[in-house]
Amino acid sequence: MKNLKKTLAMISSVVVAGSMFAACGDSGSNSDATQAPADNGAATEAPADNGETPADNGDATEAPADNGDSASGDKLTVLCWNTDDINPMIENFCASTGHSADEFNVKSFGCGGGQAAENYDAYLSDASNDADIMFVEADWALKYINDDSAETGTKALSDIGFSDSDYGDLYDYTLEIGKSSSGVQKGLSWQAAAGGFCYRADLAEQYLGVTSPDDMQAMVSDWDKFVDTAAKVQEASGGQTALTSTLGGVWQVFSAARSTPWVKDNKLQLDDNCRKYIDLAKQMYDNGYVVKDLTQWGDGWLAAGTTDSTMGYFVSTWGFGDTILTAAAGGEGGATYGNWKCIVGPQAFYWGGTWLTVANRNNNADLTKEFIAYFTTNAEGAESYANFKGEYVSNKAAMANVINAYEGLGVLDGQNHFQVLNTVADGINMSGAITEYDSSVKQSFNDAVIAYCQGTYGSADETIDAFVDMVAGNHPDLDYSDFE
Amino acid sequence: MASGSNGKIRSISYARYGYIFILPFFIVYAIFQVYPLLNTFYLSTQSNGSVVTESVGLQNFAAILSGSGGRAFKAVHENFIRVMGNTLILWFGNFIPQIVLSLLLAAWFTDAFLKIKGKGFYKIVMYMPNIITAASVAALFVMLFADSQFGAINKMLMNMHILDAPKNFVTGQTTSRVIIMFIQTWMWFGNTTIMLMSGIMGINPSLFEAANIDGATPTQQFFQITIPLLRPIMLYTMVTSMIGGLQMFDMPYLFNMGTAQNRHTETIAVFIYNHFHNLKPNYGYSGASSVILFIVTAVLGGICFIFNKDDDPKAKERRSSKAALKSKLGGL
Repeated sequence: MKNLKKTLAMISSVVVAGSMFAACGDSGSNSDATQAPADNGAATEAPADNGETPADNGDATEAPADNGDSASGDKLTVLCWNTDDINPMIENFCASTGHSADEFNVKSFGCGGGQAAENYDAYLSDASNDADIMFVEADWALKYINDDSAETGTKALSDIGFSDSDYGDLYDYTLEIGKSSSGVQKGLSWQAAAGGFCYRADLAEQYLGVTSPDDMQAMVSDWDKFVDTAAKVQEASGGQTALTSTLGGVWQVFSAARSTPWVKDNKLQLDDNCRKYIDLAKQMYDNGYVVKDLTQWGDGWLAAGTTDSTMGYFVSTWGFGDTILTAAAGGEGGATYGNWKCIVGPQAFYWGGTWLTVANRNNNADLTKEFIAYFTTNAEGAESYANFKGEYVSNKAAMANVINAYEGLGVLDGQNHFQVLNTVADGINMSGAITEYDSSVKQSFNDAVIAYCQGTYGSADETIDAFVDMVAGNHPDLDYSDFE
Repeated sequence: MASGSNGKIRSISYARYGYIFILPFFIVYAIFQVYPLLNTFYLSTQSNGSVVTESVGLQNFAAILSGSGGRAFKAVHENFIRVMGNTLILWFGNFIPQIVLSLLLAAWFTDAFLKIKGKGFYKIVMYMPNIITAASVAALFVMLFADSQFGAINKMLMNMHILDAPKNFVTGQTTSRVIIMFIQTWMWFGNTTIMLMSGIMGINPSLFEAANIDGATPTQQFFQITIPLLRPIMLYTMVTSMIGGLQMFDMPYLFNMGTAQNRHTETIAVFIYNHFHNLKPNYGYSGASSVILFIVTAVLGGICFIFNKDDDPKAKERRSSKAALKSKLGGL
């Protein structure tokens, strides 16, 4: 009985965590997963040019494209953690190229992105399980990208027919994250998750006298100015309004704007930018430049956007819909809907995104290449998908067309935020700053800094010490000699 | 004891069918219980992080228990001490109120002179919290006690002018612990009450009648009859609660804001889980701390038994007469 309860608790905790991660994916809801079979069905019906197939084609496509079947080596097996992305991708790919959804075998683990690696390892530990493409997230992409082993490793993209000249149209940072430590391109992202700073234009005018996004950008163009502006807002509003909602958002920017990796030569390192963040975070927290009691994704985080308690959020490409900004405005027609504007903010940053890698046991190189290329290097395909899913894709040429045709977003009062994000995406430089330890180290650092802000630690040095202890507790095989 | 006549009986024994019928259980037990158990001992001697197949002997135990030999060892040692402390605090904090409350309720509900109406209803209501899944309870309490001014309790207390600013119920040290203790008590007191009630109802009613006739007060009856005779059930409750308490996982794991664990409520089970599911899995630490937990549980369980030894003179007599009988038989 007790064990049963524990098992249930564990399952439900995974589900709870999973639904949280699902929120970061895109505006898609969890119900997408349940629609999966329906989507596949629609996709199989889409290509009308199945001339050679027999008349009873309809029945054949309706036969379930059985997932998880280890004998489906001839199908393109895609490993992913949910079907929010893969289903629309297959649908769009098949509709445009004439392939059938039957050629795909989606192995979705129905978990959060953070738990995907664990599930992949379990799945890959059985050598008879097929795997062609693996979805990976930036935080742990290197676990697979740096792995060359036959069991769990990944192939260089050049092995399936890509060449360096293919990547010219892709945003640099998406390429950097897909490179192994030795510089081999092993992953490509079809998304560019560049982020900007969204602020309340009406409050900016009231407190700062700012009327255009350009003027606002000038007031927050670096962190010193950002803090000065926050102080002005604080003063003008009588302490009622904070420039940005949570430190979580600020940290998202800082963590994606590091120049040194967390771990180099097996040694833990602390970027100067992060040292700066400790003091900045404390200053912003103590002075009320963020709403003190809110946490990112926590209760009330988005609700604060409908009140005057905060005037800004850091938002990434996928967050303009109901995931962050529109929800913060109270939904369409909500209290502050249409009062927002988007600017680059203090630093160019990316937040999220999924990369496609090729499993070493791939036995379907042609279709793998066609599929990956369609969403990344193939500008037409990427543009088609961008319009189909409303996604900000990583292909610049595709995006240029999308941006030109874009009519603006309601919550931003018709501003074309894609233009802003395009500048950001070009400015992101993640060269060499990604390690396989990122997700865990970042979390520890953020925990330590928040504890410092809340008064657990007395000084920045103590905070760093606590941070190193947290990492050391998690990763005993790293070298901590720089912090002795 | 074997004698010639038994040989014949054995030849028509159906025992082997019995063995075949219980075999499935033992197979499942061996695969899902014995093997993982033994594997835990094996894992406790393996290395951590990137390379997990290297044998390191007792280094994990040394790291966890002493912490000497580098920053990583020191960190894991300090964490272990911290989570061990958390576990004990959380267990004591929910066991003591739980047992007091349950005893009181059990005594009232079984008292023949109180004549409480709707006992069945109360039993169901008391047991109810235990039926709700831990995840729902955790989600409910996180929502109620959310740290910001948007949390229900915070908002209520602020509107009533008890608090000036929102309190960090979920992340604060004392508040988060007290809330988890409360949830555990709330969820499990019904279970314990019913257990103790069955224990009390198992006591011979003539004892209470006799005590009544002799003029004993209800308090005297409770302390002189109920408590002493309830000892075996109390021991059982204590041991199961202790094992459950030391392995407490669900609430501490689920009661937090977001994915980060609250360091003040991280228990040993959460610690084991986290190391096992680390980005670079620390199987060695997980295994070693599981083994340590196993030893601690065994020792504490043993202590419970020693303290609760039946020292009733009659039982002693029975035991000694049994022993005498045995030795007699042995002598024959």
